[in-house]
Amino acid sequence: MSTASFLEMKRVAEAKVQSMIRHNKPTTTTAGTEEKDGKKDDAEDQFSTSDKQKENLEIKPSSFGMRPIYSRVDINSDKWLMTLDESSRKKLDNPPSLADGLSHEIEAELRYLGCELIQQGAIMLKLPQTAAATGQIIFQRFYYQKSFVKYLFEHTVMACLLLASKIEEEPRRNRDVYNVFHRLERLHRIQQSGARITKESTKSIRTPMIDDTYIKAKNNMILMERRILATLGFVVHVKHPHRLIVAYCHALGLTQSRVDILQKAWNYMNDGLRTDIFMRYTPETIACACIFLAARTVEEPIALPSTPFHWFEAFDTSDRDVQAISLQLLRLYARKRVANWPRINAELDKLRDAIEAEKAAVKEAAEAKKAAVKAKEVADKFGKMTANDDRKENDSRRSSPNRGDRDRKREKERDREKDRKDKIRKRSPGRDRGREYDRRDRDRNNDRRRENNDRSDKSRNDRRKRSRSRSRSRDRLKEYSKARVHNVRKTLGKQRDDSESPPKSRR
Amino acid sequence: MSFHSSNSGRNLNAFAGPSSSTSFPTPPSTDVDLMNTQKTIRDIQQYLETYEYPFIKDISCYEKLNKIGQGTFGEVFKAMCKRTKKMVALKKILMENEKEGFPITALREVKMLQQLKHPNITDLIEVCTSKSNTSKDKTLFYLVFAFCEHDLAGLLSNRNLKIQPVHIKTMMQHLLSGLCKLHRSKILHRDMKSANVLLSKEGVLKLADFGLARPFLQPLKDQPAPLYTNRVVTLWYRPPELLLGDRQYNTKIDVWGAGCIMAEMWVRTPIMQGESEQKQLILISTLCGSINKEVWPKCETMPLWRNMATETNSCLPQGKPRILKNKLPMIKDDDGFNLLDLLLSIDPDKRPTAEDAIDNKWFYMKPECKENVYDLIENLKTSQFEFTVGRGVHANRNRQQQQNNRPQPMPRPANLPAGQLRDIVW
Repeated sequence: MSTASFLEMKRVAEAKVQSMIRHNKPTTTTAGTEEKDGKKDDAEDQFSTSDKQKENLEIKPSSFGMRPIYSRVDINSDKWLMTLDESSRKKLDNPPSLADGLSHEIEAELRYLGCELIQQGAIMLKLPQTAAATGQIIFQRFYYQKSFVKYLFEHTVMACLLLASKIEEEPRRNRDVYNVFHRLERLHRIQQSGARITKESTKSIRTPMIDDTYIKAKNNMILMERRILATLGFVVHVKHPHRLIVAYCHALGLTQSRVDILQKAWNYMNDGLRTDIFMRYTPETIACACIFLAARTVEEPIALPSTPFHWFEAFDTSDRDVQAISLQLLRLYARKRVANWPRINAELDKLRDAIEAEKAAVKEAAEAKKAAVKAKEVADKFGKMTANDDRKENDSRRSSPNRGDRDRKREKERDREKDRKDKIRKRSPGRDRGREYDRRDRDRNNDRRRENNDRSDKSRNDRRKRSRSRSRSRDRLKEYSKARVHNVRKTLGKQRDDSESPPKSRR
Repeated sequence: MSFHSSNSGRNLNAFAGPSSSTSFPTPPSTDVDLMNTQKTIRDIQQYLETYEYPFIKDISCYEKLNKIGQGTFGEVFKAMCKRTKKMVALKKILMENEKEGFPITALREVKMLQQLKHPNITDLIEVCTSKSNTSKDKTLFYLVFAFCEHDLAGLLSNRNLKIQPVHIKTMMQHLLSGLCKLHRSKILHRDMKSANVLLSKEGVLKLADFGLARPFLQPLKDQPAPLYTNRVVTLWYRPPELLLGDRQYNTKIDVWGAGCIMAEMWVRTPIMQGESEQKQLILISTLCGSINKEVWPKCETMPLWRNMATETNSCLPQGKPRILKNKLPMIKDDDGFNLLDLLLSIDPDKRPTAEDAIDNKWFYMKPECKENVYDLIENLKTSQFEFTVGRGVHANRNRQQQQNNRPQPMPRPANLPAGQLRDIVW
């Protein structure tokens, strides 16, 4: 739609609201004195005040204010249409994950996977479909504000399920959510390995124990829930087009004769939750598009009224939007394979490592810089102490052509050092560092696993043994702290090297 | 809008075929475990901790002044917005004891207040966060409300304040219209009491504290009615059906609360101050007449009816007359009394809805309702809150240091039976 037609729409909307206000006014002013209070109150209830409407005119669809608000909970979805302001639109084009180096393809894949997990999780938790839809929309909204690289999407999926269950007044315990997620993960792994999901293949999946991983996952879930709420500014309520689809079908006279179209439109909408159309279009538009698509793809397609104007234009929807949504929905069905979870995770981990390495490099550089400054200070002091009477000369040393040989030498050395560091930075030393970190982490994990195995294999009740294992862990801690001390010394040594003279090995 | 098509077009490509899927090496199976285990990277965590959320403001833009409320829900502070110099009330959402994540009650409260914009309902301005000092990754959430100068409980306890009948009528009208809006939006308040009724500086009455509120569902024809918890509403304002353990209650429970508040406006103290559910039932029977099949046909279907009726000293004394009229001689206005009588009906089906109540004749009789009750509170220098005044149901909670300043409790009528030590009608 061009800007001109948008302006036209806005003008029409304004006129509508104006006429409504005009129509409404006399009833409040001319009502008899006895009825005045009651009537006035009703009017206030049914329509928000005219000032508010004028304020909202910019962003509301033209149908706003035409509908009395009585007896229904009005959920504000307009706040979260991301096409309304410039910065959100930019985000829609360029999701924040891309800034962290995630490719567009993987980003979309992640969205799809996350939504699918939420949908399946909601079914396993026996949540109503509205909760599943809410969860998926929250998920989409969240990742248009935050990056997949920085916020683990597994936690977000769990948090979305938890939050959606609360929002739709069907609260589930976080233990249940974790169990379901755990099972989904295992199922996914079976699917990935090529096996079919049967009773035999899923037999090995057991409910997870209440252990360290569970507690960690639970805490992360709760933390992420809070982050979602904070990120979205508590606007987590979603207006679902489900009822709109039914209403529109009823208006088209399809509810009795063609239930299949209604069902198909409904299915399209539920599948559409996996895309980001809910960030882009109003529920009304989406409902129209779903019915439009359903009427064409159902077994005996029918033509819906298109003269004198397309039927959906009666519901404030343009054919352009309808076509765009239809296209996006059909693309959804074009995809054949399941999202590859491990591959996505590998990709994400790589990026996370890269970011960490980059940060470490920056930190290192900053430290080196600090050390250099310190060294310079020391050197200056030293210079002052030795050549106290040459102070003036010292100050203008740089500009003076005949400075001392020793100074020149030192400066050269400093330059060389700097070059070396730059080169290292270009080679991205952080990557190695990241790998090192990984290995360390893995070792630690392996340790823990071994220990657990030990504990379960041998007598569990033996207190002495447990205490021994505890002491072993204490030993491990000691070792670890030793290693850390060693590391610290190493880095400190490096700093000293940086500042004073090239390391010995280089000589 | 032109950007729609262009955006979606570009984004659609992302969903297109499995072109580059083969380029990724599949990781060895041992690593999958590792990848799925939680991976904490210190820098990322630090980033998360220091990140400022653009959609939510930090609490530092408000300056806390003093505490004005305390209860199971948490603490309420008076504060000033540093930018606009406006007064606000900050309600802290307690999350220490929450094992199931963000409390659903708080979520409900935010959700409902975002939808409810009405002159007689407290105005939720925004939700703020603050970084807690004690535990590093626990952010606290505050609800920011427009500040109201007084609450009704504090106001009524001020004996120097002369409340005219027209004030009561205006306040009742505000109360009922707020309640009406609430019920139309399909929300039950579930904690109607005078301490939760606020008065703004302009003299407009506002319903507050949606900590126990919840949306209710219209029961479908072929489905069983939804069950709610019956452990709601402060005891003194609890209607008989809740005391008898009903779990399928409806909006009428709030109407009973409105009735209690209406009577309280004349009496100046809560009218039925029972100390347990049983005692409360006795008080209701003595004031509003016995609870039996004649006044309330469905009463024997209540879950706790049998327990209450068969107890040795029955909580449901029979043969008591309705003495509301005798007990409230200060209500000179017959229409006003009739409304109160209706609001305090034993049978919830006979109680009017808030919508019916607001159309009552009384509101159209002289003296007519005013816009607000500004003239009532205009001369009050200090805010009157139940918490600061120090009365009410929670008077003894966490208030050791202010015990001495508290006004003496009401003298107990001498002719009460020994069993009802602190149970007084008023």
